[in-house]
Amino acid sequence: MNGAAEFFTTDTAAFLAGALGRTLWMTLLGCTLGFLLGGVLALVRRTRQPLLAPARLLAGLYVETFRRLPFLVILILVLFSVQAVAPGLSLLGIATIAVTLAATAYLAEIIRAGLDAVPRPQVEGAEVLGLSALDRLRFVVLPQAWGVILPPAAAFMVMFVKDTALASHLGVVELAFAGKILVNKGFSPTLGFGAVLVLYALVSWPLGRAAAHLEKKLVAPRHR
Amino acid sequence: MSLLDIAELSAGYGGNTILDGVSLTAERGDIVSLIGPSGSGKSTLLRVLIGLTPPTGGTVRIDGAAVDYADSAALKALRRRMSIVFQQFNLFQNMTALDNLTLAPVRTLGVARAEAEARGCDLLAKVGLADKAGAYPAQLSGGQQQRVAIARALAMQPEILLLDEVTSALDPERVGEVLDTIRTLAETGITMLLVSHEMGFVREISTKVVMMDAGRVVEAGPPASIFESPRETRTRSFMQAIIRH
Amino acid sequence: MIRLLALLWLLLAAPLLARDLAEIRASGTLKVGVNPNFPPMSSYGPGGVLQGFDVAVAQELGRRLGVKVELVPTEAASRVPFLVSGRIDLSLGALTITPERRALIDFSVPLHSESMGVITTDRVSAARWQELDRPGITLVNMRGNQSVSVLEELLPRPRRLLVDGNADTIRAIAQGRADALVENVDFFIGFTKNYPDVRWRVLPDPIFTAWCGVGLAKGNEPLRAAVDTALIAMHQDGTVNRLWQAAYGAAMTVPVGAEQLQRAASSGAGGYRFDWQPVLAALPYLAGGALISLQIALVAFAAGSIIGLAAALARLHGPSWAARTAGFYVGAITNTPALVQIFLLYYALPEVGIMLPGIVAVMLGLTLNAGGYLADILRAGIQSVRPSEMEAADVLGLSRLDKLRHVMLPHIVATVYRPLANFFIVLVLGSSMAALFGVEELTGRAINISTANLRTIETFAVTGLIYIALTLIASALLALAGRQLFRVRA
Repeated sequence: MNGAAEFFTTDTAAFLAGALGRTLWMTLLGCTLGFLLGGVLALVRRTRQPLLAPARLLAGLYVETFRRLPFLVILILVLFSVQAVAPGLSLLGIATIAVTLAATAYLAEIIRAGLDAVPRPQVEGAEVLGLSALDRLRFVVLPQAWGVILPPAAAFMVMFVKDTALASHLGVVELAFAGKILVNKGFSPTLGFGAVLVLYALVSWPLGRAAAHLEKKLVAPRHR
Repeated sequence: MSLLDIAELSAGYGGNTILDGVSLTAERGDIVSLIGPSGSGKSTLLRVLIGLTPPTGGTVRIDGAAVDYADSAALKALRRRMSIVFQQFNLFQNMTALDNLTLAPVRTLGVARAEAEARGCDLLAKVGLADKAGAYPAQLSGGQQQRVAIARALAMQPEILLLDEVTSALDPERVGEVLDTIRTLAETGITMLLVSHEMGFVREISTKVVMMDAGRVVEAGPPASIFESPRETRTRSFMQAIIRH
Repeated sequence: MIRLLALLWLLLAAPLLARDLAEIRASGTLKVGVNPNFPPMSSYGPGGVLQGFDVAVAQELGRRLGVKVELVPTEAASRVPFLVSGRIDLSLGALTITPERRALIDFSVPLHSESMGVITTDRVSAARWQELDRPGITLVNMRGNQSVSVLEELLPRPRRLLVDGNADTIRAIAQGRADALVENVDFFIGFTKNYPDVRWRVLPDPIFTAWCGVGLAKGNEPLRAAVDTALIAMHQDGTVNRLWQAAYGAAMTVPVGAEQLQRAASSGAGGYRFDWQPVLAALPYLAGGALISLQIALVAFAAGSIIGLAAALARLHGPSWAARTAGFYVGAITNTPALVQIFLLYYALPEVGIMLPGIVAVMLGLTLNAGGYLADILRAGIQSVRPSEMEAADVLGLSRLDKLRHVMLPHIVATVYRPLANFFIVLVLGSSMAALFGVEELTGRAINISTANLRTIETFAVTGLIYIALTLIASALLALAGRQLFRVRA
């Protein structure tokens, strides 16, 4: 069995750093895309036009479905269905799609709650002035919803850093899988997984603090 | 031809009728006050007129032309001629007083920003808030917010102004400043429909008073006749209940 | 919409996906699937470069076909699906030639033999493999391996433990989770070096011999002919044996002979068609797994609530050392993945002599994890009690119990009920992690049957629907209970 001396080498460090990079990449890209798509879904669900009723139904169905599937099941389903369309896509790309699909559903709900938090009279005030739906959103609703949306969205993203560990099952060499590979090479499981655990905490803890700080800053004073 | 002609207007949600065939007219320059107990449909009437609550029957004509409330283009045209001030002000919390005034003229009337701002400053000066252009709503008192809201409605240069219990949410000592603003406004000749519980003010300023109850018009007429010699018993009992307080 | 249609079309007409020889030659690269965790077949060497027998064979095939080789890491269970979808052109990774697989993919002539034997330790008293057929024995095996179903017939009595990787099998025996591995001894014996303290034994007589070939997508005849030609030449000029010797340090136990090198007849075009029958037939098995998922979630929720309540009280009202300890616990739990926490419990605790079965490690891990999150939820609940109302209760002279029952609990329940109900759903979904530790709950069973029936999309679509139904029922019951028992909306 390999000892601790062989563990603390630049090789291991570089290997873990690469894995950490993939963990962050999946989270960052997946959650950013998820935020944009979730925003679209939230807006679709807010519309009131009778013509858009099927779109509202689909958006609602999507959100309900993907919030009731284990991320592991989403990963496996995406792996086997996406590659039918794009067999050249890397496993990292496939995992990122899975993150996007899940994040879209959760962030759509967060964004919807934020938009709903803007009092109805604010929207009516804009409506009676003849502002178009887009202008109402851009000048009145979004500027006020932003402070309600951003903190939980940031917290969700920090949480998802940890959930991407399941992408190890696909064979994406992210942080959790990196730990497993090191242990399979013969390093002690305590050392291998312990190091990975510490790396997760080192990333997640400051990010979590930053998200909490953001919440204090945005929610307390409503005006500059 | 009346400027505003409301005929058999009805509205409600589900099986609940809130407006039950309301008819009334207003001539150019009229100041029409809607009075009556809570829940009589006064505020709903204003919300239907401005297109926030869809009517379930009847017609609204402006200069003889019927308004199609189901058509968004018609609504947009309507809101260029008619504006409303709410009980709760509904000022945009994320904008300064001046930005509240300029947003709609710039975005919907296509007025140049500099021109809109100059006009906005004028209007703020008219409501006595020239120094508050850069203030956010939360930094203003209720009375000041309501005066900004009136200025915002005027920025759209409406022919008809709707005022929905604009003093109800204010501290008693702030009511006077808002009523003064409306008095000044009345002298400009703008047509107004207002819902108010300030009976002295109603009697002083109105050209016409409309008594409503249970979604219907009980009686309408000049303030002197409604206040001193009401024909209907419902109006008389309402007046007595108010005077007793 | 167009993409959706394209997806449907491609799923229904998969034969179009695999690249034919002309396309591969035109692109200049041959995509070969190798198992990244399978030394000495293939594994990551120094600098993260794949090396081993399969890697050398792949390079040699590429050289003889005149194309560059791109190695695609492919876990055992993914080999057939990856071929069917065209993610890889060829699959190595000791792919045993079986009739079931022939229904979905094509094979080249054999590349090497696979001689099934027994790896065990001196803990187990058995001289021949037949003696392992008794109830007290646990056999470890890998999901997706052909030997799993064969063993069910040859050795029906022992219990089974299914794990995901080659290294995991030997680790399971070293840690005492299992007693023996019945597999190709050549492939697995290398891992025993990681556990020098264990007295390893290999039972003498092989159980049977099978043949492993290079896997290809169905109906790709020119490619198969080219690979066959190259492989036959590599056998005849000794290349295969030389590479085997280099990787294993010994000759192949049963060499590939001339009769194995007869070219198989073309199997005709096949391809992927949806077939829901296998998964529908397994519905009762999956439903049983759903119950186990629910059990895991319930245990973690109940036990986690107790830990969470203790941690919340310690942080709010405990002495400073207790508050700090609880704070550290909550911070450590909520800032690291549950999966890695369970990895530690499952793989690292045996180092200090504590061996937890998979389901216990998962339940314990999820409980500790839930405790951290529930502590935060419950703390917010306790803080929702208004001091002014407590003062009013004091003034009215209410007893401690009455204060708790009538003043504190209504606030706490109203604040925490909805977050608690949501967290329970999170736990039901999170219990799927148990699958990665050999627990046969819903996801575990889905992986089991999809590696056997090779109908992954169908199996997981149905599994997903079961999860949706499960959580919808749970949400509805929780909402009902909230209204009836606590008069809160959930």
